[in-house]
Amino acid sequence: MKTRIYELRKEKKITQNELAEALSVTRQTVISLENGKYKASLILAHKIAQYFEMSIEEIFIFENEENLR
Amino acid sequence: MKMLGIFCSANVADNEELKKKLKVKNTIMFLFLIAGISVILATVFYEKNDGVFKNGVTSSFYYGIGSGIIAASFIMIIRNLLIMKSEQKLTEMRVNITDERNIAINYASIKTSVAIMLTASFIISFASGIYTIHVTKAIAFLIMVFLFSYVISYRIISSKI
Repeated sequence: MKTRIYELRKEKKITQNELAEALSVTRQTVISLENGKYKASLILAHKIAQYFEMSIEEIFIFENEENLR
Repeated sequence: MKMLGIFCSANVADNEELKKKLKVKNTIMFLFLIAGISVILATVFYEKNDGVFKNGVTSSFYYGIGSGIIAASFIMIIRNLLIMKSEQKLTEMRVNITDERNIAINYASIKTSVAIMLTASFIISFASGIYTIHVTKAIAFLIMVFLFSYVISYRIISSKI
């Protein structure tokens, strides 16, 4: 699974700290999400999608085996 | 990097809820403090009246345990009181203990530690059997308690979620 969090954060011109504060997570979690080391839970993915005003699928790109078809 | 304590993850929605949790924790710590003082007092009493405690080694062991419990609980009480006084520290702590990545790390670390502890326990249990069977029995009992409590808690939790 890939994420567009880094790209979207840069577009919105916000720091990792600001994003972490908005999502009520640590900065380290934002870093790990951005570099794909950690996969967000459904609740966190939903919060991120709400924050960027997008759908989950637009932010989290699921790879072949992660999709039904 | 801030490390999350073994039993420190919690599900709190806001700082007020965290304050309540810290108050409960402080009550538990106060009970530990009393337990530590009781251990010291009991050791002083037995040192004067019991032969086993007069050798010095046993009493030193219990003085160590008692003073350790007192020091740890006292530090925790002061730390929690200081956190409760500052909104910023409360927020920092809340984010740290509710952060899902921290919780995931916490669970994975506990899993690894349990595997290492069980392996070490089995090895020590086997090795100690050569010298004294009592240690083997004690460790075997602890392993049984662990496995039994795992099965019971698994069944209880699986019925809830």
